[in-house]
Amino acid sequence: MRHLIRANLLATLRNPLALIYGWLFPLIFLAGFWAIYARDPLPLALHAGQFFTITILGSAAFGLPTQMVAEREAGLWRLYALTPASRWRFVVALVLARALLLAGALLLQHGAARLLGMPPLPHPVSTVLALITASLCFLCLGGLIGTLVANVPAVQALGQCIFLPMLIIGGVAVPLASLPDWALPVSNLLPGRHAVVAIQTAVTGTGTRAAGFELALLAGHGALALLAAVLLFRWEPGQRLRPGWWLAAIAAAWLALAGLAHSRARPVPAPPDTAAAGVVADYVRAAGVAVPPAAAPAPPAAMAPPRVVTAPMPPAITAPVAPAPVALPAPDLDAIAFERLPPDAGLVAPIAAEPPDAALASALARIERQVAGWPPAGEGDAVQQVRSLLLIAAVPDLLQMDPLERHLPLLVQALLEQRFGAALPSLLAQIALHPDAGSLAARSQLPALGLPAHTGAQGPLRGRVMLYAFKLLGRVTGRRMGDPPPP
Amino acid sequence: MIAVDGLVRRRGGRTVVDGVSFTVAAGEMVGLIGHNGAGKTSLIDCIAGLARPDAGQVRVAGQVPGGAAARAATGVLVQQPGLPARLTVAETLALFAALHGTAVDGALATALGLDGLAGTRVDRLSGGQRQRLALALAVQHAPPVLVLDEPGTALDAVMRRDLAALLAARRAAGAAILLATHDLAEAAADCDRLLLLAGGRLVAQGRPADLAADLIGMGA
Repeated sequence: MRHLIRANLLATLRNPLALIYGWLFPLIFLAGFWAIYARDPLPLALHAGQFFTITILGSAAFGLPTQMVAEREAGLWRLYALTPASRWRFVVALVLARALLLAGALLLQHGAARLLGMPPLPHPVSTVLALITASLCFLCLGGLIGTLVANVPAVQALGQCIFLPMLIIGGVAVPLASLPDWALPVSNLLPGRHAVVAIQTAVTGTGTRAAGFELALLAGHGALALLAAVLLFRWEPGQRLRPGWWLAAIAAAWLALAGLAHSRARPVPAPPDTAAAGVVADYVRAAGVAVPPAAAPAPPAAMAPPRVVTAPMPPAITAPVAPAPVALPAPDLDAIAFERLPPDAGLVAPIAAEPPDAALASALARIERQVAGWPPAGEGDAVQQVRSLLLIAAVPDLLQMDPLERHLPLLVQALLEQRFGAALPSLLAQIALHPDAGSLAARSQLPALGLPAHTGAQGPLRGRVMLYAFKLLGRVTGRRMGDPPPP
Repeated sequence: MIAVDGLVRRRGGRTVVDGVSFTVAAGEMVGLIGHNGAGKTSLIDCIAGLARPDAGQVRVAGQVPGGAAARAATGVLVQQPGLPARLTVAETLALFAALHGTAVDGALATALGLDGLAGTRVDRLSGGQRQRLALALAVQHAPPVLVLDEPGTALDAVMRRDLAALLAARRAAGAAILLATHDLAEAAADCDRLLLLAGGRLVAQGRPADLAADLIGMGA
């Protein structure tokens, strides 16, 4: 087996065209994604599932079958057929050799993405597992294409028939949120969607466990494709395909897989969350906010215009002070317009109203354990510590890590109440009313909690920190426990 | 070692091998003679396991062709073999040796004049060099059965002589050799028996001395 893998690798590495298509093109796709989604809250990470899947699909739908058919047409496989090695060995060796080449392409693509600003992977092991599973799944499909088609032009034809639908209506290149309703059930039947979900969940989600179903679906698709490729395998171009009863069994298994995917379809993710969080003045009443200043008090009259964000607030606390005891007087809660905050059930700064399921509860428990040893939670003064802890809710919200993003604020609230007790309202008010103050350095240390780092502009993130500070302030003081019931 | 009984092979609605029967014993070299289109390659494909007979049966070293045991026991040289273009000669020899579960036969490579080409990529070899490499791939695992389709193609006179010596050595070692060729003189010189194929049928067989006059008369 290893000799076949080595021979395949050597042959491909000595083929300049194969390297250009296999390794250079993925970098071009990446640059395209970077340019198209330049307004994302952080570079590229929200589309990692898409561009990694496109790279895998390109290698599987075109690279591998083209190599297979070209070698078969050249008569090389006729020579292999004279050796005692089984067709299983040949197909598996082809898939594994191509998987190694693909790993090189994915590594290059990841390196380039990091250079373009994508944050480090929060779950490297989960990401590698998702990439391996998706790669093997699609390469097995590529092996089936190579078995079915008779010549290189036919590879292009059949490859496009698989590649393009997955790109366009399979949630790979065109986001699911942009698809018409009729296309969504179709996308569920195609493994491209599951690959995007599995990879994306590893890159900006909670890791493997949350995408276990998708990984199982990919493994199922891959196993069936490999079985069909081996059973239909032919050593020579003119050799007839010999389908048997087992082909119907494989088709039935495929249908069962599709039905399973359809029955357990995930909700379509919302479009990218680039909504503005608003400014402080949006959430305070005209009468002013009597938040005791940390330094010199601001003149109350300056707070009058509700949409003005500059003068009314007390000076921000920027210099580290002793974390305890906290000597901030209680804020004037009546001056805060809690009812103007975005709804908890909305896209911006959501908070869950329902308990987490088992997988999510496990992820939350893990994060809670890791926070105990998370350095930013103990660095700086109390306000800075609270601000850093609020990032645990704010970054996932900005990255739309649903459903985690809706549950993390409750975890953060519990942690804050436990740590700061009666001082918490004043601390939250300080942060809510001074969103531009303090440091967001902790955003780069979120991977220690299994969450993605934030590397984009600070403005949107400070807005989300402000919103969660207001929302948690409402909750800990009983002023706003959740969305009001619908009229 | 090779037993062909009532073999029929059809292609595109045409019968290209029609009821052929013969045997090749261990330590025997048999020449398969015939014009282009006589059915030699189709017959060899069936013996090598590359094609299935439509009727009749073939046994190679007691095995049905195509199975792992039969393939391990057979060394086959096909016409215009598709060698791995981007591998070197040494890499190709090592790959096929590994696929047969053996080591590279350095003495064989030397005998076929390949040792000086070890680092040369296959797509940069001449026609004769490629034929020598293909011969080495067929022979290097020392199979008890050799089936060679036009082994002298593209070889110069010296190499043909070396090839003849190589095959004689294998025959002496007990290999059963079936050698398909156009070259009656070569076959008559080297083989123990000749089979004459015409229109897919075996029209004559016997010792070269007995058949030579008939074959020459038939224009073979």
